[in-house]
Amino acid sequence: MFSTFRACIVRTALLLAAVLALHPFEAAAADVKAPFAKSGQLDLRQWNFERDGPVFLAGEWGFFWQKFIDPASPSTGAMQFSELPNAWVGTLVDGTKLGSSGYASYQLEVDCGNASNLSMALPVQHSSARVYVNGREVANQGRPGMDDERSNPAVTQQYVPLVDAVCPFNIVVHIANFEHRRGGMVRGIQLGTSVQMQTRREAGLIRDMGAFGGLALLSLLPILFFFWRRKEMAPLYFGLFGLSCCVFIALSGERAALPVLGSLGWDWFLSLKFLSFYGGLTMFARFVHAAYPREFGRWQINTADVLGAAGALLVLSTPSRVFTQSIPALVAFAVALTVYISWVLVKASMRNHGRGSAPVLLGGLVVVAITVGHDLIFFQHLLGREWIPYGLLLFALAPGFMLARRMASALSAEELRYIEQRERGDLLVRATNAGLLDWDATSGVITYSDRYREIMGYPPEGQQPDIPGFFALIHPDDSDAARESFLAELRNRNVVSAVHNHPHLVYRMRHMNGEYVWVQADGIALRDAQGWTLRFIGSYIDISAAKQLESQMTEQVNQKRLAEQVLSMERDRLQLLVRTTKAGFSDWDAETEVMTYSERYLEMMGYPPGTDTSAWPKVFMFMHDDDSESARAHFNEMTGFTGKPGDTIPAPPMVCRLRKANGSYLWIHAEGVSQIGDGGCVRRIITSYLDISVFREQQELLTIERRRLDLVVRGSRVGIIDWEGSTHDTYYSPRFREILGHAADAETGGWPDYFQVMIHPDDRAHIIGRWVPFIKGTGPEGRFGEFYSSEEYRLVRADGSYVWVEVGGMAVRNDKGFVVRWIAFIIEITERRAQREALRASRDQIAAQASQLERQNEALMENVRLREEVERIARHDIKTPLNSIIAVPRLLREERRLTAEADELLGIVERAGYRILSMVNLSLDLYKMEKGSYVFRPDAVDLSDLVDKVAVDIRSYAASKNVALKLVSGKVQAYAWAEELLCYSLIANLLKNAVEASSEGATVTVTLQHGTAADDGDNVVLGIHNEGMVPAAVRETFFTKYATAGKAGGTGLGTYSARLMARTQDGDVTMHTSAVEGTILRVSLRAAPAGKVPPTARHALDHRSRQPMVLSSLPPLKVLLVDDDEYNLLIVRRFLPCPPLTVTTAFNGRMALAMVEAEMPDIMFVDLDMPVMGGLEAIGLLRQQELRMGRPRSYAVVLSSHDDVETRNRCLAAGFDHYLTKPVTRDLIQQTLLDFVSASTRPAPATGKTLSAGATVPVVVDPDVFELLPGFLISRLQLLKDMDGDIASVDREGLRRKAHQLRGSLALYGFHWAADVCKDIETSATTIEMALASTLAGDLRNHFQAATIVRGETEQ
Amino acid sequence: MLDERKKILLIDDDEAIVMYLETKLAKNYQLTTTTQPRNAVAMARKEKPDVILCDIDMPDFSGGDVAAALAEDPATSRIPFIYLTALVSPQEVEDMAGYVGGRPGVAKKAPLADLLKRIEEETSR
Repeated sequence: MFSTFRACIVRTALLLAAVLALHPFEAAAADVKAPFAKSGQLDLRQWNFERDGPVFLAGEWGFFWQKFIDPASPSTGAMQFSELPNAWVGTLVDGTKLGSSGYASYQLEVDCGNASNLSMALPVQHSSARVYVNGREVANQGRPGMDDERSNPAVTQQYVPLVDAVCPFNIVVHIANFEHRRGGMVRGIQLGTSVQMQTRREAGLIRDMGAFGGLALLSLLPILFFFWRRKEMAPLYFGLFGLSCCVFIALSGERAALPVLGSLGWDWFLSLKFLSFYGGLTMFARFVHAAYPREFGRWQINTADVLGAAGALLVLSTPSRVFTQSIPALVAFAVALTVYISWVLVKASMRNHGRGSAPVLLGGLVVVAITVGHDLIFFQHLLGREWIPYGLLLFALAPGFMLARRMASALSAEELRYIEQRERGDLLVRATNAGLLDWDATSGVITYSDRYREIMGYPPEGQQPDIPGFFALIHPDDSDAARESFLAELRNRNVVSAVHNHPHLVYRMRHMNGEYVWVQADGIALRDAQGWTLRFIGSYIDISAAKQLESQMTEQVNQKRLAEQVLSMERDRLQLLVRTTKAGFSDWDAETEVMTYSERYLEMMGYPPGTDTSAWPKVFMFMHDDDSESARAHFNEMTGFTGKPGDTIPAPPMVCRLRKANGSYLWIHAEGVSQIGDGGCVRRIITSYLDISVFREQQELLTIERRRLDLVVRGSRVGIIDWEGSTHDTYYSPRFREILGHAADAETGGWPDYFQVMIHPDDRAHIIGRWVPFIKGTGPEGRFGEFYSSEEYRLVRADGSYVWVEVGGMAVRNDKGFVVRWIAFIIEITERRAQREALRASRDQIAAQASQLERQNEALMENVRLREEVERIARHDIKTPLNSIIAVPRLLREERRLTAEADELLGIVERAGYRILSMVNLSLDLYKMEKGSYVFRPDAVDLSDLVDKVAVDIRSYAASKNVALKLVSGKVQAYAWAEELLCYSLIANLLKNAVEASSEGATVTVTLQHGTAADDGDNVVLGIHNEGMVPAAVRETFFTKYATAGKAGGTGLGTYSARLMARTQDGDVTMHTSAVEGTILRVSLRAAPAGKVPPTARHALDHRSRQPMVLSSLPPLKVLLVDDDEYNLLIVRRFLPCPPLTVTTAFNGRMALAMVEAEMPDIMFVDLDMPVMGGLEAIGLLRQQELRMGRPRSYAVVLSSHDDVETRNRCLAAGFDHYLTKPVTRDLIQQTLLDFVSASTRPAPATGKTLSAGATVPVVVDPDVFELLPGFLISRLQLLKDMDGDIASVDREGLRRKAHQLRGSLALYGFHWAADVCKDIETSATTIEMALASTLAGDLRNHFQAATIVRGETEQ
Repeated sequence: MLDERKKILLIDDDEAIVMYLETKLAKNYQLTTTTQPRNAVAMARKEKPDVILCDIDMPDFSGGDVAAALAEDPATSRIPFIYLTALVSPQEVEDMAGYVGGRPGVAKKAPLADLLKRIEEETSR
């Protein structure tokens, strides 16, 4: 610090000395005291111009304010004097201080003696002047005027030769100023010889130009520097500062730039000068700030900027008269700035900042201050030798010096660093032993380093042989990869203007001796702005040794790993072995006598794993007292073994008990091995301990079990044989010996073969036949079947007799399934067999009896069935004549030609007939109801009407008993949902019973009502009340079949059937009886659904509407009636109005067929059960006949007294069209006729099957297949031809097939009639007469050829 | 262009039936036909039809035999199978809930629309 400061002082001092060194010359020149004008007079008579040099015309000049005096006649009176050079500002004239503006005249008389050839130097005055010498105008600076307008300032520096002027000189100067702060003669006029003046001017010019040029150079260089390197601002500021100084210099002093800039005019000149000053100051401040930012305060620099900018603004925006007023401020600014900068620089010097340049700068500043001060103090007013240019030059040199020094040192540092780096790089390369390849992509030149050559086995550069190209040396196997990598590097243009590191590669290169060396190759590529590789430098390190080492290492590692694996496997196996043995181990070391135990040992003994066993007492202490002594002896024996070192000597195993942690004992099987040490003595003993407690327990249990088994075997009455397959030894138990009639302890050693000898000869074959497959494993027991199910046979006893035994057993088989051991049990069963035989005999007897019973039962059943069948037939046979009995009276009555009495009698007959019929029907139906096969066909039944009917029927009976019948039906319209006949029977039964049970003169009341909402919501309830009481004995069985209450001749069916009928109709009958209330039977039946009315009511309606139609609309039909019962014929015939009908009759089927052929009836009514030929047979033949003859199908209606569904269906299937049950009414017959007529008057369907129709019926063919038709018809005709063949050879199956085929296809193509014909042939193929079949085939052929074929419309 | 129509294999010993159905069904289906019921399984394996229509009453090898043979072969057992027969009437088929001999069946006499409907039902299962 101190030394720095000292150096700083020294440097400043040196600079000062240099400056002061100039001073003596100046001082010498000023040795002769220059004369000073007094009162407008300057005496220069003593002044030798040649010797003393030029002189300033300074001193008291005559001063005339506001006057331009006449230069030819200088006035002398009343004149004021003014000391020049000076501005007139502040001069007192007539008691007032003068301002800056105005005009005046100065006058001086110079007595220059005999001096001649003088010249005058006129510096620039403020601001216009005219100079007269001896009344003659010698020079002017602009044009002074009396006011602003007439005055015209100019910047002029003049040298005026006074060649023709004679001493003394009367010098008059007119000066006007309206532009500058300081008006007047501000600079002194110099007078000297022309030569001197010339010299002075030239010297001034040289000085100024030198300073200007030096400064300009000095400042331009940093600006240029800045232009190339913008990072640092200091050079720029310095350059600008220098330029400002240049301008200032050029505009001051000799005003070298005047010829150039003078023409700009006064204002411009002045503005430029001021701007250069402001700019220079500010730039200098900026420069110092940039150089010493830490020392230069921020606000100070900002202030400097602001002030500088403000000054510049002022200069630019105001006229000179105004801005020149700012000179004091400018000076103050400059001084303040200088002082501050000096302070900054001192601070910087103290800190030794900027490597000592601050003092230099400070020195420069001091110099400039001194020069400025010098000029101010000594020469301000005089046009003397100015120092300021020097000062400025020196001042500007200081920062230049500083910058240069800075740059130089920076460059030096850079250079040093570069050298250092290069050296380091070289060292690195050398240290890595890398060979280098340097490829200059632009020139394509590749250079290889010597080390590279060395690696490849080639001599250094310049020597032969030269190294081959890089790629030529790469191992063929690696060549492609290396080339690819390099090409990828060239192609990769992602990295631009930078260095790109090439991926690290390892490959082999050919050594000169032909071997290959492994190299590790790295590379860097230098890229240009487009990403092109400019240069590629590769480094190659020989890693062959490393590679070799690596492969060796790898091999070693692999070997080690292999060995480790083997070891680990071995260890695992060992551990597994140890673990599988479940053995614990102890390891006794002879040297330390310490025993260590394995984890398993601890586990066995019940200690937690990791238990510290080091303090355990000897193992014998854990042994059972009974075992410890022997174990100790055993152990001592083992420790005494001797042998060769490394031998292991096993000791015999021992069994002992070891105490567990919980105090219990374990049975242990211990086995030890002694290991012999180097001395031939036992070094360690390893003992394994196996827990055999369970084994021992099982062994003990087995012993007990065996003993028990022995007892059981001996105690039981079962003999045992134990056969050992391997030795064929056989054990016969004592009991077995007894069974065979030997003593229980008889010797069995010489006993013969069991199977071959002991078994009874009759049983032997089949026993061996089962036994041999069993032991081979091929029997039903299977390959590994153990149990041999028992069988019974005889064994030969000792005395030759036989004994029955039951033998079963169990086999032990080997892995091939052969029996290796056989244990059999033998039980004597002689007694059991005897008992069984007896049992079987009695059982057979029972079975015989049972079957006999069965047979009897079947016979009975058959009887019942027969009886019922007979009954059914009988009833049917009754029904047929009965129908006539009913119908005849009706017919007679319908004639309405009877007397009233006859009519009534016939009514009785009719009703009686109905009653019989209903009884017959009922008995048939009751049978069905009991069997549950009755088909309930409900319809609405008017119960009140029915009760009336019944009442009429039994009225005479009731009257005979004098019992009154009282019907309380009221207005109730009670329609039950039931069958009328059943209801009739039911009510008649119950009512008749009630009358029967009533006493003489009693009343039977019948009530009819709807069920109450509570219980029988939808029911109709009929109540039948009589006053008698049902005897208690009968009450329970009141509704039971065959139960009667003292009714002589009663069948007991009445109440039973009543209830059966009620229940069949989803209703019921209940009975309440008591002495007080009598007996009431309540019949409840379902009410008919709303809107249903009884058929009687319905028919009444229909009848009215249809009656006229029947008579008027029937066409003249032919009707055939077929029935064997003439009465039936008669009745039905009466129902058929003739005309318009024509009715013929037949008595059986055969006759009917003949009639049909003759009469061709439109409709026929046919009975089923007829002699000679029944209706079913007849209709089959009839339909065939019709087909054959091509007759229209007649309408066939069954008239049968069978009233069951099966018969009805059978008839319809056989060819009947309608089914009516006898007795029929006129209505039914006529309705049938009407139905037929209405059906046949409808348009005939297309399938109408009469041949005549068929042949002509147009065939409507599907338009899609219309084109196929010719082929189709040809193929059908071919089929018909084939069919003819079948018919000729009576091949019915062939016929059926052809008909089937035709039928299917014909229907599809639209030949419906033909299809129907074929269907008939097909269905009757097995029975059809061949002649008929042939006819039909012919019809079909005709049809195909003659039918009108119409193309159908396209389907949508 | 790929034919997206469903494929039908028709087996009937009567050429006329085959031609008829070929004509009627060609609009909506691709038809493969044979009058040789013994070829049915081989054709079914080859053609992989969407449905098989088969007559029942055919000499030597009946529709039942065809159905059994198709059912035995795992390659054809899953193909929907419809009997097309004249043995039963449309009414009878209806009574039997559309089944003949335990398999879907259509009477030959039934309107073509019934057959089309049945084919669609069976193929869209």
